[in-house]
Amino acid sequence: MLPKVLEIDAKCAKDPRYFDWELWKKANDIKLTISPIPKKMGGLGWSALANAVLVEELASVCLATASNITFNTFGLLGAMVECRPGIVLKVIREMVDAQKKGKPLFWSWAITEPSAGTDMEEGRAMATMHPSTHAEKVPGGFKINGTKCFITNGSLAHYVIANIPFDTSAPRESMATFLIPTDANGFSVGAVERKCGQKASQTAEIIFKDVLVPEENLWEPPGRGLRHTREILSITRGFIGVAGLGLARGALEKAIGFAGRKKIRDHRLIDEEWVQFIIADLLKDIMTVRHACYNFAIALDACHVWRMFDAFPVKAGLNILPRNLLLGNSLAELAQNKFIENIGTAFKNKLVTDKTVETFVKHGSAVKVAGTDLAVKAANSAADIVGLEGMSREHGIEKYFRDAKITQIYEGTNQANRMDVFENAIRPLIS
Amino acid sequence: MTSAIISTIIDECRKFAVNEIRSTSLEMDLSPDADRVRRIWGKSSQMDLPWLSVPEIFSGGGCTPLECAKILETLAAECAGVASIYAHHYCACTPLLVAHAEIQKKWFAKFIDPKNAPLMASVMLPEEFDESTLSWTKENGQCILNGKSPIFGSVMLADGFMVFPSETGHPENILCLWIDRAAAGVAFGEPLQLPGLKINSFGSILFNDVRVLPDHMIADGQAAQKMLSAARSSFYGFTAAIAVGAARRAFEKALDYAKERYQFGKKFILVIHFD
Repeated sequence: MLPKVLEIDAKCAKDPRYFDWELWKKANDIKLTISPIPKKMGGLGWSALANAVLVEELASVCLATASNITFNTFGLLGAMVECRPGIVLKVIREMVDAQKKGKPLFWSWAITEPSAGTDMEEGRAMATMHPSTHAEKVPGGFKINGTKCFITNGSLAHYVIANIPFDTSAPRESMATFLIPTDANGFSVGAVERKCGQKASQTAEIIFKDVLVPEENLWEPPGRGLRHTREILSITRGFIGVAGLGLARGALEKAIGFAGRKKIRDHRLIDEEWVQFIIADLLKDIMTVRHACYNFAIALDACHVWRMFDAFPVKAGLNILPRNLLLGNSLAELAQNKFIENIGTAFKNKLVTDKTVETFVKHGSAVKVAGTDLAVKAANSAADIVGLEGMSREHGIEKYFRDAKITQIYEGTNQANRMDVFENAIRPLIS
Repeated sequence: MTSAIISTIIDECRKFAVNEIRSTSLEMDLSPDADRVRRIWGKSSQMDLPWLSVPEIFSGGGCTPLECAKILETLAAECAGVASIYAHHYCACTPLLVAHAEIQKKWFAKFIDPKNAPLMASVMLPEEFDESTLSWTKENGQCILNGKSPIFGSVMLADGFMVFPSETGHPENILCLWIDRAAAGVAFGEPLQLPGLKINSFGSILFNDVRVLPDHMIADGQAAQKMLSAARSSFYGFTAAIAVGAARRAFEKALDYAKERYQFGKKFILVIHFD
């Protein structure tokens, strides 16, 4: 990544639809795009902790490229949250198959709408929102209309996991989760946004015009969409914190490199005490936030959906069944049986309760705010150290500066995340 | 100048900024273009914008530094990059404001020459942490400049530069000079590619045995120190004014958005807390 990211950033500044497939293919070749899928099924079998390390390392070089690579696992995450064996097996099979063929298989999570951002992520806000999307039951499936915006990889996605209400006057009660293939008639991509940073990660408007989706693509029934969102957020927010941590580290490393090379009269910039204080302060913050991030990831392995890989029936199945059976049609067909699907969902809901989800939202939000605020602080401090000359594009530091701010805004603004921390940690004590 | 007149000037500047800068500021950010700056500069000279800091007796606008700061704030509300070009120009004029009357007469006449296209100036201010190696020596009574200048703005735009080099081996001994852009021995590298103020161009200039014309020597000794101090003070103040202008516009945009955006069941601006 390192030799290419500035060039990619410049190309994306000119054309927001530019995507560096060569770099993505290299990551795909070594399976970083399917890292959480069990080894036996063709993935790397990486834990949440291992994935956190991956995100930190990639984000320390380029957060946008990191998301291009790691957001590919979003389908698996959405499916694991559902935990209907038929869906999980289908998603894993498609992802492994695409990886083997070197073909991209992108998933987008479509929550935000032109009239509703944070509203889509919190219960009371959702109850009062004015949605622009709408689902309607029709023979054989559902008809979907409306627009989603600021959707990561929306212009590249093969599937969109979208929350859409059936009744726009009662969005919370009618919010449902759909899997929408982007080759469906009526699906189109609108503008790809020109962002100040993370330019290599495409953020697009997606439009549904009488899009028909079959019954089986209703992942969560009306009223359960928010629960799906909260469970995904309970995982992803922590990872955005990890990404912020990586960005902060990358910015600091660049600033240290610059300060070590830069001569001021008879000494180096890094020999200045004020520079040393800034560096030490950031190192302290990075070490502290890293502890929080990795504790969060370890907790995901121990208590959240990753725990399922260690649960007896899953572990036993992965150990006993041959790979071709695990990825074969017969098991996939069997898994679509309604009874088995219900068992899978019940099994997961027992492992990951509503209380677990809200606990992880609280901790994930805290990690998200800590990591992304640190990203902005580190990028800002790096700019202070390197000055005007060091902020010129070729040094790469200004890119961290541009990339950092967006992390405070997406996956719920940091203000919304702070509210989640308060609502989960303090509200029950004072109500 | 009365407060009524300065209010009128600021109103005119606001109209100019809205009409000439607002519509192109995003485009200038995406594709910085010196010709576009030149056109804005030319149009602004029709309302004497470049000469506002020049005393009225020399055909300037006679604005005080505070009034210039207000004007820069107004311009920066539409585009901080454009405002910074004017700030560099005003700062280049500042040393002359503390010069002798004869020097003022000569240089302001050069700056405001109705026979030529409106001149754009910039200023190189040495800073503690820059890597400038610019210095002067004397050879047969002629001042010669060598080295790399500090980083400064309008480097690829200005017609000439107000320069404050130190004497080789005697850093306290500075001069105040004017260097034409086209002077022999002056070389320009690639400007910095900064994340903001893109329409302006920041960078350094390389001086290779640049022989300073005798009549381009503006001051030396204490007088030059005083000019440097004046230029530096005005630059800090003007930069702050630009930041205030940009902040004000950002605030106004956010306010407009908050008045329109519906969230948490109400107009966003009405959300005091989430309860």
